[in-house]
Order: sequence, then structure tokens, then C-alpha cells
Amino acid sequence: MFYEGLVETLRSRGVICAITSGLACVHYGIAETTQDCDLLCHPGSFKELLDLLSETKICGAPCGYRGNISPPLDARWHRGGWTSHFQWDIQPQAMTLDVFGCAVRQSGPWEHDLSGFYAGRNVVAEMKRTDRDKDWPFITSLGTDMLNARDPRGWLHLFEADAFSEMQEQGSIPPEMISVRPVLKLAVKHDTRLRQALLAERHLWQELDRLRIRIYRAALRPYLLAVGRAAISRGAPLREQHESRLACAQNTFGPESSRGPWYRTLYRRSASGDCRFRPA
Amino acid sequence: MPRWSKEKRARFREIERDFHVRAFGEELARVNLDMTKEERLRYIDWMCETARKNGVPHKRWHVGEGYLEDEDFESESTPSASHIARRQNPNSPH
Repeated sequence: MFYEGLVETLRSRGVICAITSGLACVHYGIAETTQDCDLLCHPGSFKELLDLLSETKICGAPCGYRGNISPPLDARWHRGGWTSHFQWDIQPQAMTLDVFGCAVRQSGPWEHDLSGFYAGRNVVAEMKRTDRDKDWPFITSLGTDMLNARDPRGWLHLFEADAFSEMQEQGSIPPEMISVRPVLKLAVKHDTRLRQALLAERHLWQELDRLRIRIYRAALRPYLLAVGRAAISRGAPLREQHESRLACAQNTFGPESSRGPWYRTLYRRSASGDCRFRPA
Repeated sequence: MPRWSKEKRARFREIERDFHVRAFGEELARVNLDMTKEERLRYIDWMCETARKNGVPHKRWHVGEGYLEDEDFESESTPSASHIARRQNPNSPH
């Protein structure tokens, strides 16, 4: 597969990186209808990644940034959770690569949890806790797969009550997992409220993600306008596109303004009561 | 750590299959659990190709591992990717 080759080349140049999200799910035995590649790459290696992308052509097509929305591949903004989007314009459909410097919602450094060319199941499952309903069955699948492989962190990723009761027949939930995820106490007690509690837990993650996206969307608007005004040619070399986007980002995001914006904003909103969970 | 017994492994597999059927349906459960990774990738390619031929929109944008759709920015004065695509494709709706 092309993307595995890309990771192999990057690693041979000393870059810490791994494929995550949809293609990682396919690797772990859960088909997701995606041909996009999401790549986790250590922000300290962005220069090497950009160099490789600049020299990699597919069917003669060079790599370029995708659309006006994509922030530049730069550690300053990736540390704040931004993602950079690239594509090769080939027919019948462009090949795309989305690069993450940080794994959103990661409970530990993703670099410590790799499996071959791919991010570990735990990292993928945490990243999948999005606002989209379609992502949630993948999380439970990864959880059952982890338990099957005797990784107790699988208990943190089951979001279906039936899967819980069936898995509990096979083994008990370790206390250290219960301290990380309080809803597991209900599972241990076979409490009938487990089903609703799991639903509430999922809604909480989804609301949190919606709020996070809203914050990013507001921050992105001036950048999007700046990139539009800069009228960067799609045919320009990747390095040139990158420099133009850097200038736009510096003028609109500020030098470090994206560093942890959503954590700070969420904290502020939560303190003011603006972030209270309201069921639909 | 001792290996799972044969019976236990079979039971795990059964639980896994039951969940896949509940969550994704019979066909995808077979794709997920009975196919090799190469076969699974070929199946996904076929599904994506069929979707593309039938005009299913593809684009989405990550914000972290969250998603923005092009349409999120359609009210902007600067043309979004989808505006540009529509301008370039006169047969496109809207």
C-alpha cells in the first residue's frame, strides 16, 4: 500500500510517524469506507515530512495543500490541535493525506503506542470519539479486539451494554480501569442503569467534540479569508504553498495563538456555565 | 501470560462476531472477520468506487480528529473548495 511505503520511507529518515483512523481500523479488521490516509507525525519531524511530500509524485502529479481550509504543517499550530491536509490530484479521484501532530483526546503520547506502520488500537479508539454517530461502533470493535488480545484498556472503549455483559462473562474488569472510567462500576454491579449511563457518556464526548469544532471553526475563519486573498496557485511547488500559508497563519492565528486554544476556551466556557451539557 | 484456551478464544470470536453483526450488519461482519486485510482493502476500494460513480460526495476536513464539511464555510465571502468545484462543474447542483 502506498501509505505504508510512505511511513517506511519516513521512518528510514528518522521520522516518528504512524497511520491512524480509518486505514488503521481496516488494518485492525474493521472495514471503514475511507481511502483517505490520516497520519500521525511528530511535530519535530515536519521538515522531513514536507521534504518527502515535495519530492513524491503519484502518476506524475505533485503533492499540494488541499483547499483553503488547511493550516500549514508547522509545529506551532499542530501543538494546538490543528491538522494539515494534502492531496495529489490524480484521476479518477485525488489521493489525500491528513497530518496530525497530536492525537486528539490522547491519554498518553501516541509515539509510545504503535503497532507496525499503525497507531495502536488505544490511540485509534481515543481519536474516534468524535461527534459523528458512525464512529462509535468502531470504538467498541477496537475495545473487544483489545480485550481479545488481553489488553485491559479495551474496557475503556466498550460503549455497548450487550458487549459489556458478554465480555464480563469472560473476565472481570481490573480495578485500575474502574478508576479511569467510573461507569465501569455500574458494569461490575450489573446495574441496570449501565445502558443509559453509556449513552450519557457517549453524548458527553460528542458534545465536547461539537464544542471543540465550533471553537476551531471560529478561529479558522480569518485564516481561510487570508488564504483566499493570497490566491496561492494550486500548481505552485509545495514549498511555495507552504511559505504562503505560513505567512497567512502568522498574520491570523498569531505566533503561538493556537497553542491549546480549545482547552483554554473550553475551560473558560465551562467556568462561566456556557458549556453545560444540554441533552437534545 | 498463559494463552487463552481454545474454547475461550472461540467464545471471544463469537462475541466479536455478534457485535459486528449488530453494529455493521451481516455483510460487513463477514468482510471484517472472514477476509484477509488485502481482500478487505479490495472490498473497500470497490465500495468507494461504486459510491463515487453514483455521485456520493467525498470531501471532509479534519479539525483535529473532528470534521468540518466544506458547507460549514459556504457563507464566507471567499469561495470554499465546494464553491470552486461547483463553479468548475456547471452540472453541479445549486
